[in-house]
Amino acid sequence: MSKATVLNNIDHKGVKVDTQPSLYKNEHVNRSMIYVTEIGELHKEFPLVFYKAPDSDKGQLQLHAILGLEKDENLFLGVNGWNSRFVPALLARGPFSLGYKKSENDDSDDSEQAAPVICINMQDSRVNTEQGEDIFLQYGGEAPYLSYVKKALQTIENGIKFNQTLYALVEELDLLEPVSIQIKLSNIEEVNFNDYYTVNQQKLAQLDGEKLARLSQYGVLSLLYFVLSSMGNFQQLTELKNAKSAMF
Amino acid sequence: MTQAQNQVKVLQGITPQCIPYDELFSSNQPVLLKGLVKDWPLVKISQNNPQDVMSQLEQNYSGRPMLVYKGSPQIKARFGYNEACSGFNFDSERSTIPKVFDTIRSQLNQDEHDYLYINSLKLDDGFPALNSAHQLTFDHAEFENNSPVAKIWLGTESIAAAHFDQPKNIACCVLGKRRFTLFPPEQIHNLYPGPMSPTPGGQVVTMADLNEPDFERFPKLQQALDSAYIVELEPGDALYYPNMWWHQVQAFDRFNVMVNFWWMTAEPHMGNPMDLLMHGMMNLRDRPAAEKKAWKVLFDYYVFGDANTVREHLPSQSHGAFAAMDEQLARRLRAMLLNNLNR
Repeated sequence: MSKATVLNNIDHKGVKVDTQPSLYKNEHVNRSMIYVTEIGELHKEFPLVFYKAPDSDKGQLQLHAILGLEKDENLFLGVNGWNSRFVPALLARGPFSLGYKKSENDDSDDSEQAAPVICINMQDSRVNTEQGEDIFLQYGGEAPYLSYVKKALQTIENGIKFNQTLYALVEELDLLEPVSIQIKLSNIEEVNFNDYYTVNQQKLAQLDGEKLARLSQYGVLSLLYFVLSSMGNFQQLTELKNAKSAMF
Repeated sequence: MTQAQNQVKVLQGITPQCIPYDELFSSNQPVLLKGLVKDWPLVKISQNNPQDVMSQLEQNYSGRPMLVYKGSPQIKARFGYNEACSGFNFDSERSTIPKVFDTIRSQLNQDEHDYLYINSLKLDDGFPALNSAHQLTFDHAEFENNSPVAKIWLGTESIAAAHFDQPKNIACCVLGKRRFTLFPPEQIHNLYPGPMSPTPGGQVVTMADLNEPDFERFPKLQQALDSAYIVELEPGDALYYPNMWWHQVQAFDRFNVMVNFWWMTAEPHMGNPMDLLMHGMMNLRDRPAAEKKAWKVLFDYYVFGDANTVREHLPSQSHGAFAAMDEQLARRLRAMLLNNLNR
């Protein structure tokens, strides 16, 4: 059970986050949910695919970055941390999350929106006061690690809204097809990509001008091509996997 | 309350179309504009039948919920702090015009009643159809980039403790008697300001009760009261007062309406000087007296003095922060300050 408290530079003075991967098993995952707002970066490194839970007919679509080929295998995680240039925001945020605070009634313009505040889960195994990344600078300023986390949290915050736009459009225009990649790891092992979908390139290419204009207007058209081209990263994934196997 | 000596300047016969702004601004004092908005539709209604103002507002209500301050009968119209100054003696809650008016109506004949106050609601948000008919003409150079927006203030009797605002203000009384008790900025020394946070309405307020002064606790308050300007507004009257002047605002009737216009005169790239004060408290206030004195001299020279004196003996390419502040220079300084502050 995670319990988040609002982060502040007085109560959490001196608190550090140890980002050593060995401390946090939740980073040892073979996929991560990602957000539309990070496709532009993540497609350069990870295979990005749509996922639909099989247990319901109207299952909500998700976008996933594939990180490994076996259970709990994250091929981008080295002994000292991530080897990739980019990290999915959901994992980059560490023990932090966004909460919403009812804005205090200020003098005039009553902003109806609750202001987002950064929360920290103090029970998280990475949180300590001994070693790792400082959250705050010596006199309470924002340390670089906190800036990094903030960026990840913003990616998530903005992505939650835009994900729905993407999902609605790809379903409406029927642009998805099952992932047909088959990866044979050994004679007995084969990786299964049931329930995963990617963009049907042919259907996308055959959309009429009006539909293409709509995709473009919503900023989705380029994202679909990014997702499509990210399939090439499966090659890198198998190379990482083979390199790792070769070491043993 | 002791009677103040100061007479407020009064201008008669002014209409919303011909406000003599140069004259208003030049005196740097409050000016009563007698009957300025007497022809506003709501004012005309209020003079014929005050009850009709409520129904007019209800009929023109946008339906958008707003924040309402609600105090128990014990607060005696004074919206302020609780004992510990950790919070307030009233609740603020989201509500709607019909709900608020129903509460006020249901208690109209009670001596003891709740105090309800909707403050600073954009007229166009609350009552869009009334916005265009309740305007003033802002045709002075000062309004070129600072177009004032009409805000409406509604509720039972209320006393807003004396505070200052950064924008300039024209307050127009629509319904009910309203009294402004104004003090020039230097009276801060005699006004016993409260905490910077929390504040009942976003601004620091005096801790002293001006209506029932406790001179034992606030001995210097007498000096403030002696230098006060007191203005009573009837429906149709308007009051201009300069920014940074302290003012207590009291509404006397069972239901009161005011519309006001605020405008800032600072360029938008200028930050909030309150941040500068806070920075001063953090970094300057607790240094030795002699050092503080030296800093005061520096501030007088660089900030409060004539901007030209600082730069006129220097080649213009070396002026840096001394140059006339524009958006680009402010951007540069902001980046530097952000960087320096983050430590």
